[in-house]
This record gives sequence, structure tokens and C-alpha cells, in this order.
Amino acid sequence: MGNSNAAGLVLQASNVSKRVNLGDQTIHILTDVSLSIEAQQSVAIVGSSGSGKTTLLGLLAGLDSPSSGAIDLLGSSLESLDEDERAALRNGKVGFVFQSFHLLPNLTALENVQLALEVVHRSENITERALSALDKVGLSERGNHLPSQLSGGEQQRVALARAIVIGPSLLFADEPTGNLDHGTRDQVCDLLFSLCNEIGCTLVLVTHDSDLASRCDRIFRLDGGRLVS
Amino acid sequence: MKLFFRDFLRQLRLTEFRLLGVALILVSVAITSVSMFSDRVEQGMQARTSAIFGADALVESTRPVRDEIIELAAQFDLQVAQSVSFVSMLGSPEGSQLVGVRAVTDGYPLRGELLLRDSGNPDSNEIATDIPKPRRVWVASQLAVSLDLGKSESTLGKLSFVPDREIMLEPEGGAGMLRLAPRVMMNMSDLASTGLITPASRARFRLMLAGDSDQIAAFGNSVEPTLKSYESWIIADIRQSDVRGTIGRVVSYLRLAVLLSVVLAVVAMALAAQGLWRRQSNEVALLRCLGKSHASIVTNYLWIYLVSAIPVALIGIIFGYVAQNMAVNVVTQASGIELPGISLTPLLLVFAVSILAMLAVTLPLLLSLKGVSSIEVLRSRQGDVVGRNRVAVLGVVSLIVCVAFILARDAELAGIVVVGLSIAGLLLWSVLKLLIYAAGKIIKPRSSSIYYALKAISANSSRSAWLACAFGTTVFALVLLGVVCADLFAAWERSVPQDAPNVFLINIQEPDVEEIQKKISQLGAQTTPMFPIIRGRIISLNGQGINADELEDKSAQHRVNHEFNLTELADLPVANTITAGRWFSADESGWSVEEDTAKLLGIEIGDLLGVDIGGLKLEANVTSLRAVRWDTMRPNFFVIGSPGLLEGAPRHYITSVQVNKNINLFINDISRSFSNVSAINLDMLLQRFRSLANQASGAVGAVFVFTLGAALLVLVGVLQGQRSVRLREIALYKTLGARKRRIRRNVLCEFALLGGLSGALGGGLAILSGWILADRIFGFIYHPPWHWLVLTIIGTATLVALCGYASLRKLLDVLPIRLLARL
Repeated sequence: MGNSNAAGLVLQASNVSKRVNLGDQTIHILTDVSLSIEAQQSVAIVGSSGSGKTTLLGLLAGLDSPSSGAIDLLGSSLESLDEDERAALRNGKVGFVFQSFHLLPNLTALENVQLALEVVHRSENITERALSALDKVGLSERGNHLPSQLSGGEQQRVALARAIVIGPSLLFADEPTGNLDHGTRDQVCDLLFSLCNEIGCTLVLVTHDSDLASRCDRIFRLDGGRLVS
Repeated sequence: MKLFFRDFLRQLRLTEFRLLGVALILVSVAITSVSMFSDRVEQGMQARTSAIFGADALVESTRPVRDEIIELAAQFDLQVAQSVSFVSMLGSPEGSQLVGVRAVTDGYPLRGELLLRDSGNPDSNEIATDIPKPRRVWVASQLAVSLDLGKSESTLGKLSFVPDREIMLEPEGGAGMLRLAPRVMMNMSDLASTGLITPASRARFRLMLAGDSDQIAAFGNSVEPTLKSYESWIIADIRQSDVRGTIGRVVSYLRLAVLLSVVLAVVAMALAAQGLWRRQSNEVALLRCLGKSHASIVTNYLWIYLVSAIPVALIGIIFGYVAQNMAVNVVTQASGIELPGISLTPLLLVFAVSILAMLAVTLPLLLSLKGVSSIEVLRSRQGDVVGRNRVAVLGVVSLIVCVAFILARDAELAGIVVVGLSIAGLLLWSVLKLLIYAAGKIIKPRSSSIYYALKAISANSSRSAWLACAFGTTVFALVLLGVVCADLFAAWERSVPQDAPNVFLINIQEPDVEEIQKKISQLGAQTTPMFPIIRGRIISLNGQGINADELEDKSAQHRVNHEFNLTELADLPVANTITAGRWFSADESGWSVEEDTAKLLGIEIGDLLGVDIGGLKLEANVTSLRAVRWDTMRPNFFVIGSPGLLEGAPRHYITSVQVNKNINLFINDISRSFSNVSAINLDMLLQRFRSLANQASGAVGAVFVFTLGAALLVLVGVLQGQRSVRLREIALYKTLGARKRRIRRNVLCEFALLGGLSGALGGGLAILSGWILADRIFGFIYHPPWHWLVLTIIGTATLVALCGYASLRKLLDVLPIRLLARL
């Protein structure tokens, strides 16, 4: 299995829809979304609250299954895979950055970064590699600190280190600056783009932030669950 | 291994994981200490019973024991001794006297001790190391007074003997048992020369046996089918022992305590596991995002939990071993009963239960991981996903049931506890939901803490019902134990009061009754009434003869085949309670039968019961059934006749006396004045019993504290599980401008209300359950301690309010912005 198909596409969605049944009512969260993303591109998915951005990100990353339509991730069709097989596909090739960081509170910054390497069974020089990733985000001195001892910006930088330490082909970011103040936001944005360039990974991010979106190669806009541009 | 340790250390940082460990330690301490202790006590009791019996088992016959049986015993490598018992006349210079002769072979007694006193030194008691030499006899105290030990000669049949030692205590009829004729013990080799034993003699021949329990059981299996109708196989069984009453209750109580402690500790484990998974579901969702498979996550956690259960159980075993050793020392010192060494069986049980407990509380949660979708990590509500698995509840419940039956070793006790706890839990849940619903409807908006507390309770009805249900079940367990504990102590107090009689006078002839009473008051002792003793046998029921061979139960056969003591009384004796019918009214003629005997023989109120008293046949209706407390050191009877019913039947009298001064002097005085009267000194037995009861109270109290520890752990577990939700609430209240004082008042009020409610329901149910336990397991006369309920409600409300407040106190002092950052 390669990292992209012949056309250099790492991600392709065709007529993807997501519906949720709430009692008698069916809520259409996404309707017929089609898009394709090439390797090493940076892509922003924007839209107002409730437009389906995060759902689309989850579907593209294989964290959820669409109600209809097909998604092709890193050359594999997701519809034919169960959740464990989708997890195996992501393993070591896909990184994530979340709006609320999702660092494990009982692990130190260093251990949180190490965790990503442990999951992909890269146990050689694990500490050195995790420290190197922390160094890249400027936090090698804070490795022994727990998340509760770090500021929001620092926590997000640790999360970024955790995402890039495995050298992913694809990095998904869900509102990566959503919980940060203006100054910190710029710092994290700069880091996100520079690190992606450095390791040559494709970046797919969901954001409200027009400045952040404008730094991407392409922008997909969602409105009421439909892709409008 | 390195990876395992790293993951294990990471888990150790979580409060919930540590709580899980502490709860598991408590489980293993509870099982180790109480299983080992009750095991050793039970084995000690068995040894004591064997000592009273003089053997571990025996073959009893009305004819000489057959050689085949003796050879079979040799094949099984058992220790053997023989005895022949019969009644005869002992001739002495002072005249003739009826005595109970026992001829014994070398090795007698195989178990227990024969305590002797030398003629030369009246103060020296020594344990016999051999049997009487040929042409010598040992005699009971009351005979020793009238005979000149070591000098005068006495005759038994054709042979003359020199009585040379005094028997102070003997097995097979020790101090606690009533024997009519004073004992004379002789060497078996002299028996034939006396010419007293002929084929027509009424004698009891016994082959006494000792060995380990497996050998005895195997021999029993082989010999029993070969026994003739005149032979019987008897095992020294603690269930038939007179020590059972006291120690048996302690063991039952300890088992109940350990059962409830384990149940509470397992509940605490389940709570901790739920809390742990609420925290760890974040981790799981993240790991799924990062590409870890379901199977590898489950395996990883399972290893951590199971492997960590082993050292944790080991810690529990060490603590438990120390605790039971202390308890054993106490019992040994108090009772003089040497307890045997520990067996390894409880240790295996501890490991098995610890691993099972860990599996039961974590596996269902691990399996529910299937339900954790990695998408949840994007939605930040992972915590809600886990913990709804019904299998989890089922797993814990099944474990509790298994543990209950393994630990209790008493299906009835385990059944009552399991059913009681299940009903308590269900009932508490339903009633609380109803009350909370009603409170939500009734309360009117007011700016008071009670209103806000009620509002909070009814708005989160499931959470509140769950909280109160957990507290209520805990209160149920504690109050139940406390109620039974209090009644246990009270029963001991009642059974051996300070003024308990310490000397039994038996074989008092009718003409001597008044003289004896006078003599007793002259000697400054106090006596209970004189009970007439009439020997009789049950022969018919409702006009139909009872044939022992048709009865299936051996005890029932024994009761019909053998004579026993009857009496006639106008007043219901102390320590007897009427359970059916009514006590005799004036001029009424009838029988009052002990309830177990009635059950054994199928006797009911109104039945016509026929009794044979030495050829005199009497019939009367059964007018009442009685429950009898046998351990009261007073004369008790299976069958009592109404006054005058047994008129004309040959009788003698029995009484018990409380002697405050020198007992030996009193016994000597009575024996000199009334040579036929046998006096039995119970003082040593009473002192031992009192000391045992006192020390056992201490042990029971310690176990109660242990259960209290388990209960507090449940409380901490519940509160810890609530912390994240409370954090959200407090953050919100603070953000909306509520003052610290107000939040504190609301929290205190809510927890106090929940605590009070749990206390009322849990306590009420416990008192009702105590009723059943007291009646069925412990055999008490139960007085529901309703004042406990009030104390329980106040106590639980206060404790829950304070613990609840303490668990949240730190959150109240944190700035709202910091609280929000933690969400």
C-alpha cells in the first residue's frame, strides 16, 4: 500500500453524506461532499459553527464512517475497512492536533510525546526522539512537567510535538488555535506550517480563523453541510 | 517487562487506580485474616470436641467390639483404645454405692486429657500419662471424699481394688456433662476377673479411634456398611459439641463480617474502576486516533490490572496474616484452646478472589471499549461513553455471589446476605427514585439551601439515587453487623451472668431434698429450684408406636432408642422461650417439647405423645414447643411435663448452686453429708467461657472496625467518581457569581439530605434483616433496636455531609477561571 495514488492524491472523498437519526427526525450533517487533496498540500476546511467541519474531518481521518459515499485515505478505500483496520491504516502515518489538546493529564509532556511513538511500536531511542520533537516546538526544558503545569499555548505545542514525532504523511488539525490567545495563536500557526514543511506532510485543518485558513494552499468552505467552494 | 512497568507506573499516578488497589488490598486482608482465623478456630474447636469425646471417632456397641473392626482400624493405621462402661455397685468399708465403671485399655484417652489428683498432695492436679495399674482404680471426687485413697480396699464384683487417685476431669463425660453415678476407672485387664460382664450385662463397648480427618473418614466409609444393628459409628463433630454455641457464633459472625467487608470492598473496587475508566476513556480514544487496535488496548490494560492484582493481594495477605495471628494469640490466651497452624487453602482463595475481583470489575469495562469511537476525541465527551455496560454490573454481582458462597461455607448465611443485599439495593434504588421524583414535584422555589439541595437531588435523580443507593447499602451492611454484634454481646452477657451457678448437684434423692436445701443455705450458697429428673423414652405419637428403624435421621433414631431426662415443672424455666402453643395453665395436663426435638420427630402442637418411664406408660397432648438456649449453665430439658403429670414415676433431683467461697470445700462438705449426691464443679469451665467471651468481643469489635474501613472506602470511591461532575457544577456556580459560602451550604445540605435518606432506608432494612439473621443463624431472641435508626440517620447525614464537603473543599477555594481550565 503506497502513501498516495498514481495522481499524487492522499485523500479523496466522493459524495460523502452523514446523517444522524434523533428519534423520528433525521439530521443531515453533511450532504454529498466531494473533494480531493494532494500530497504535501495544506488544506483548510472553513465554515460557520454547525456547518459540519469537524464531522468532515473525522470522516476524512477514518475516525467515523459516512452514511453514504466513499473516502479514499492514503490509497485505501475506508468503506471496506472496519474500525480496527482503519486504526491500523492511521498507525504511524496520520497525526492529529485537537482544539482542546487532549494531553493525558497523568503523563508528563515528554511521556505524552513518547506515547505516540509507543503506539506505533517505535521503541528505539524513544526518549531522544521525543525530546527532539519537544525541542522543535521549543519545550525541551519542560519535558518533565505535567499538562496542568503548562499554559494553553505550551500544551498545544506539546500536542504538536506528539503529532509530528511519528513523521506522519498526513496531519489533521481540528481548530488548533481555537483555545489560544492572539499571540500564542501566531506562534502555534508558525510552528504548525514550518514543521509540516520540514517533514513533508499533508496538512488538513478545520478552522474558524480566516488568517490561519489563508495560509493554506486550498480552502474548502462548508455551509449547512454542503461544500460551497 | 520494561514496557509493562512503565505503563504500570503511569497508571499508579491516577488516584482511581490507587483507590482500586487499596480496595483490593482490603478484599485480600479481609479474606486472609478472617478465613485463616475462622479456619483455625474451627479446627481448634474440632480438636476440642475430639478432646471432650476422648477420640476423633468411635464404634459403639452393646456387645464386645468385633475383631474384624479392630483389624480394619489397624489396616487404616489408626490409633486405637477400648473402653467398656457399665453401672455397678462399689463395695467399701463405708458401705455400697452405685458407680459408673469404665474399664480402659492402654492409650486411653486418645484425645483430650484425664486430670488426676494424688492422694498425698491434694493441691496437685496432673495430667494422666497412663491408665490405672492392675488392681488399682481411680475414682471421682465425690467417692474420693469417703474412701481413704491409697489405703482402703474396695470391691467391684469378685475383685478387690485399691482406689489410689482422684479423677478431676475426664473426657467422655467431662465437667459439662451430667453423669448420674460417680466414675470408677479401672484397667481392662481386670475386667474379666470381676465377673461383672456377662452376655446379659448392659454395658457400652467402645472402640476409640484417632487419626487425621481423611483417615477417619475413609475408615468410616469402610466400616459403616458392615455394622450390625447393635453397633454404631460416631464421629466427634463440632456440630454436636457444647462448645459450638459460643465459638460457633463468633465464627458465624466473623464470616458475616468478612462477607460484608468483601462485598463493600468489591463495590469500592467497582466504583474506583468506573472512575478510572471515565478518566482513561480519553486515553483510549486518543490511542484509537493514533492507530492502536482495540485488541492491543484491551490486552495492555488487562495485563496491567491482572499482574498488579498479584502484588496487591500479597500485601493484603501479609497484613491479613498479621491480623489473624494477633486474633489467634488473643483466643489462645483467653480460652486455653491451642489453635492449629495455618493452612494454605485460604491463601489460594485470596489469590483466586483477588484476580477474579479485578477481572470482574475491569473486564466488562475493557470489553465496553468497543463502544469508544475515536471520533469522540474530537467531541470532548468521551467520559460519557464508558461505564454504561450492564455486563459490568452483572460481573460484579456474580463475583459477589460466588465469593459469598465460598467464604460463608454456610449456604443459609450466604443466601441471606446475598438476597438481603440485592433486595436492599433494589429497594433502595426504587424508593429513592420515587422520593426524589416526589421531592421534585413538591418543592416550591425558595431561596434556601434546602430548596437548592432538593432541586439538585431531583434534577440529577439518577446520580442522586445511585449515590444514596451506594451509601444506603453501605449503611445496611454496617448497621446489620452492628445490630448482630450488639446482640451477640448481649447474648453472652445473658448466658454467663456474674451470678451464674458454678456447681451442679445431681442424683439428689427425694427424701434428701429438704436437707440438701438447708445444707446449701447453711453453707451460704444460692441455689436454683430443684428439678425432678425422670428417665423416660418416647414410644408413641398419636396412638401409633414409633419405630426407630423407620426414621431416616440418625439423631431421631437415637432420641427414640435411648432414655433421656424428663421433668415436670409449673413455671417456664429461664432461657426457654415458647415458640408455639402456650405454657401450662393451672390444672392443665400436657407436654412441652423442645422445638428441634419436635422437628426431628415430627411432633406438632396438639399431638398425643406417649412416654415410657420404666414400664409406666403415660400419654398427654403437646401444648407447647420451646426454644432452648443450651449454653446457660442451667438444667435444660427436651420434654417437660405439666405438674403432677409424672406422679408416681421414680425420680431424683438436680439443682445448680452458686458458691461464692471455696468451691472444693463446699463439694467436700456436700459429698460427706450426702454420699449419693454427685457434685460437679463448673467453675473452671465458667472462667474459661467468660474469658473467651470477653476476648471474642474484642476480636469481633476489631472486625467491625475493618468493615467500617471498607464502608469508608466505598464513600471515598463514590465521591471520587463524582468529582468531575461536581467540578463542572462548582465552576458554573462560581462563574455565575455564587458566593463560596452559599455553594458550601448547598453542598453540605445536599449531601446531608442524601446521607439521611440512605441512613433511614439502609438502617431500617438492616434492622429488619437482623431479625432474620438473629433467628436463623445466631439463635438470639431479638429486640429490634429502633433507637439505632435515629442514631444511624443522624450519623450518616453528618458523615456523608462532612466527607462530601471534604472531597470538594479544595475546589471551593480555586478561582473560577482555574476550574474552567480543568474542564
